[in-house]
Amino acid sequence: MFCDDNVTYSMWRILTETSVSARNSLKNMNRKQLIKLGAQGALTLGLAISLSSCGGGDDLNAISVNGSDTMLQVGLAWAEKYQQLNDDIGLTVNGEGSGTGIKALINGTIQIAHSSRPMKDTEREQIKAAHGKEAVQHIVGYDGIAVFVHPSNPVKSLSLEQLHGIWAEGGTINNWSQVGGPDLEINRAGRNNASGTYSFFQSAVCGKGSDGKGIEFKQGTAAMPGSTAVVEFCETTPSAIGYSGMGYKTEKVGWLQVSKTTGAAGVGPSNPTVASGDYPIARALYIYTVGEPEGDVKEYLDWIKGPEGQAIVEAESFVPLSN
Amino acid sequence: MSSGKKSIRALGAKLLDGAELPIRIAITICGWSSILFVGAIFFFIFKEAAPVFPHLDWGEFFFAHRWIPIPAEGNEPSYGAMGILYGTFAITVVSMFIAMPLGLGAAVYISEFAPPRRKEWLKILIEFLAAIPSIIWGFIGLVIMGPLIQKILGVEVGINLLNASIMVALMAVPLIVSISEDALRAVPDSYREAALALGASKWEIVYKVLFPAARNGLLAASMLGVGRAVGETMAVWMASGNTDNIPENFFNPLLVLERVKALTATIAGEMPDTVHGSEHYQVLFVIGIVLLTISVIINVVSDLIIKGIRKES
Repeated sequence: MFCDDNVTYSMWRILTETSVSARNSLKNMNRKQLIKLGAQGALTLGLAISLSSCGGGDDLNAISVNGSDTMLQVGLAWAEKYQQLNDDIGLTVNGEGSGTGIKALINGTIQIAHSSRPMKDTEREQIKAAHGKEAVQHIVGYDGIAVFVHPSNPVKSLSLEQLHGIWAEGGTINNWSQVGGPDLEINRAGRNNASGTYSFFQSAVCGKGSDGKGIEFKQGTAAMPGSTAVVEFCETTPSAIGYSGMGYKTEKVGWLQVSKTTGAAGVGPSNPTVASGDYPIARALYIYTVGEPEGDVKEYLDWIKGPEGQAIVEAESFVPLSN
Repeated sequence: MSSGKKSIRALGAKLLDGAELPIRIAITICGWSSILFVGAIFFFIFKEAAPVFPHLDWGEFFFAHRWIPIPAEGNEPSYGAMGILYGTFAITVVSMFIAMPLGLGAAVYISEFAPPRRKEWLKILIEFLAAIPSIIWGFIGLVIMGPLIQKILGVEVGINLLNASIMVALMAVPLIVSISEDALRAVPDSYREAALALGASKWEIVYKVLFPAARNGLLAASMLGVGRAVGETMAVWMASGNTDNIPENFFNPLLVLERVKALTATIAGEMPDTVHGSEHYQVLFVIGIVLLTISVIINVVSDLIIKGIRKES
């Protein structure tokens, strides 16, 4: 009856995604976002329908994209603009998470995977085994992870070492007074453990132990429903510390400068510091294809890396390739 | 005119006679379909979770407090769900401490003390309370109750066990009220009259005659309230703080100000980001089985209790 059980899963995704977008846009709803919300709904629906037909309509110019939820908004903006310019291309964009996107690339159900983390070696091997070609990585922009605090917090700058003490399992910093702040127990707010932002912040801040294995976050770290919720938590809680993409920064929230070593001058997250690598908690936004891209996919990727695509990257609060 | 009506009625009756067999079949199918649906739900949830059964460490799942399904590079995932099981348990217990007195009190007032007109109004209002969607409750918890708790109790974080429990309690109250009220109303008036004749006050009637007589119904009402609390997702996710915590001292009442993480919120929060078919995905379905088992037990027990009432009366 179901030629692909992804169908039911996608239906379910529509429900959850729409509710997530609805929640995010409750706060600062404007016309642009409303349009985007509609576009997202339509595109997700498009994917569901294309899956429902189970490969019945093999459109030659259709490109399917899936992957990082951090990159969903920028991916949708690219697709929208690109389809206006090229009406013979049909793009379906979805943002079910970096891991899901790469899995879909391995299974061959999509041509382009968005990812907010580099592909793991095991995933590269699976691509090679399934398709006989290497996975090819394209960097299409950068994203800085900002560390948020309450605006009244006198602590304005922390080193990576101090952040390690606050976030990592075994770290000894549990009170703001240990880093020059008020006598308040630190309340940590992060994302859920399957999100790309979670694993990137973990590798950047918790790092690796002496045995070469990664260090986990401390127990008792809140898993907030989304990046907006993290920022909101930091706006309302004097003892809070949280992280999310720097695009989520608002006027009501405080943020920290971060230095690589204790005592060095801190650097704030901004376009120039992220692109130059001076800001320590920054990551690249990746696109993966199976083998070197050809035809429509190549044209699309070239356009994304070109001035028009990069303008959209900047408009979506990410950092474009060249400043 | 009346003869016309009669003939129409006769025609209708004739048509119905002819339609009896198809209707009977349709109704039978409807009746069995619910059994089919329940069976299908069990089947599919077990099917999704089954691949992880042989190699899931069940001791760890139930008794370890370490939920790291997506570990840092080089580490093994661990599925110690004790903190999450505690979260659901804590929300259930605390919310029932709030909802039971509130629900029972309201039921006693509506069935015994309120004048007839007010009784009708109250029932409509309570039914309206039951119709509020859970995401609205969650929103109220996040935006109104959270800052209120921060301000009144002077605590750092307003989204916590207390906040989630209040939201769940308000959602469970309508259920408890309507079932308790039914149970109280089912007590024959002769009991009340006999007690009055013996010189009992109204209050004595309530707790010496009505409560013992309606015992089973009140118990069933609270069981269904518990079921509501265990299964609530959206409001709990938004209002509980979603943090895997177990308090050091279970007898310190301040533990209601800790943040907790519930089973339902874990599924809702992590399912969208898991890789379809991965081990993490399957373990989330194991959590689904745990929830399903709890609600089946609650429903069976409350069913048996309600059956007990029928036998007695």
